[in-house]
Amino acid sequence: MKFKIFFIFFIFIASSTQANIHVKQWSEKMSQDFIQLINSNENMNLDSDLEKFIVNNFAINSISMSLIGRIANKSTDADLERYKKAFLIHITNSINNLIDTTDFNGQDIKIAEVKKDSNGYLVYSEILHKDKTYSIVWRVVEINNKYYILDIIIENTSFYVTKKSEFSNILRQNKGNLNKLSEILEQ
Amino acid sequence: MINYIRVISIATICLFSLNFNTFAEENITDEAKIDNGTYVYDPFEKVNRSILKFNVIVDDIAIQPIVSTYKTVTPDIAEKGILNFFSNLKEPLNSVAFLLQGDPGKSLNSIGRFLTNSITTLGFYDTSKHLGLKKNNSDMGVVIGKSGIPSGPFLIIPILGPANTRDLAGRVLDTYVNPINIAYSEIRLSKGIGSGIVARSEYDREYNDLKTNSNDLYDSIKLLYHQRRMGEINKDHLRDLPVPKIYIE
Repeated sequence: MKFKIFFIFFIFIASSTQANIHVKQWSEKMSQDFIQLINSNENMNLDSDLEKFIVNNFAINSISMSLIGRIANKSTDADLERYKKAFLIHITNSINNLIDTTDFNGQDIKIAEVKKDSNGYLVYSEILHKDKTYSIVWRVVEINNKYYILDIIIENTSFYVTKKSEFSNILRQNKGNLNKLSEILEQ
Repeated sequence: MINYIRVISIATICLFSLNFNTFAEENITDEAKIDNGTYVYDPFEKVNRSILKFNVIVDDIAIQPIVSTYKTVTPDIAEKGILNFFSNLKEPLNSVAFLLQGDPGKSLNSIGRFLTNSITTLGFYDTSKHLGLKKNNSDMGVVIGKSGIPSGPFLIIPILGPANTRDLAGRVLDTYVNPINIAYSEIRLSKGIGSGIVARSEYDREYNDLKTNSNDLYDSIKLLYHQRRMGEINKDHLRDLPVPKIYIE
């Protein structure tokens, strides 16, 4: 009996450690791809390449749908499609702005550790920039055997939580009109 | 010394009692915002918004020109040196705060950093990082938060910016428990103004970006402040954050 419990415990620990290693490897590759994208582009096709990178690595559908909550159920397919497109433009511009504002020019992203919890994985990383170390945590989830980023938390500030509040305010001010939100995002 | 203890005690009792009274009303909550994970207790929103408008005007008229001039006339290396100088003056406070949190290791680390940087370069260069003494920040607000006292209402303080009643109490305590302030009480005000201007100039770009791009500046500041402080106080803050629902990608 003791041996069985020990064996099950061992299998559980081994499989979760293996999963953590996979997520860490994926995160390292993803961050290297991101750095390469910034360094190689010289801003020529940065927008379109960044958009492709986001589509490949971010759970765009999950993020965009969760951000509007129950409004999604009340909206037509056409309105949702417009919103999703506008959101992709918005997130691309947000990351592009972040690169601009912080003068980020491909500094190394050091993946420190991966922790699993009930909502997926938290990938803890650091960027050394201008003598300062910034903490960046990626919330990663596995969907259909592929890893996706669900949230980026920079210095304890969650992109998802911040956008959720911002979008809720816009929707509240416009009586839940999704097209108005899309219009603002398209700007 | 007795005077100091008296002031600290009175300030703490006043601010904590205000905090406890307001916490009693914290049960009246906005369900929608709790679901969103964006809930910040904010019973003084109208007053706060007015103070923020005032702060933005003061910043535009008085602080921003000082910051812009400072950034223009000061070479980057000098700017970094001044930032290090003020940051070094905060190390004794970090040390006291870590000690009160029951973390003697980090407390000693802060003392080591202060002594090394002060002796070698008067604090203008971070020599201690080459000795493996990593910079860690803390304050009395974090000490109070870690002891389990809730944040209380969100506040915008004239000129000083965002806080909550817990952090306001923490800031009052910061000025009295910082050994530098006790030793050199006459420089307290000039040190405060100097470090404030330097801190404002360090985040100049981020602040202006937020001001330009934010749909609601008040809400953005409130949420950013709340999340950052939560992260500093609660190590499991990230695990508690709401996450998007999974849809097929």
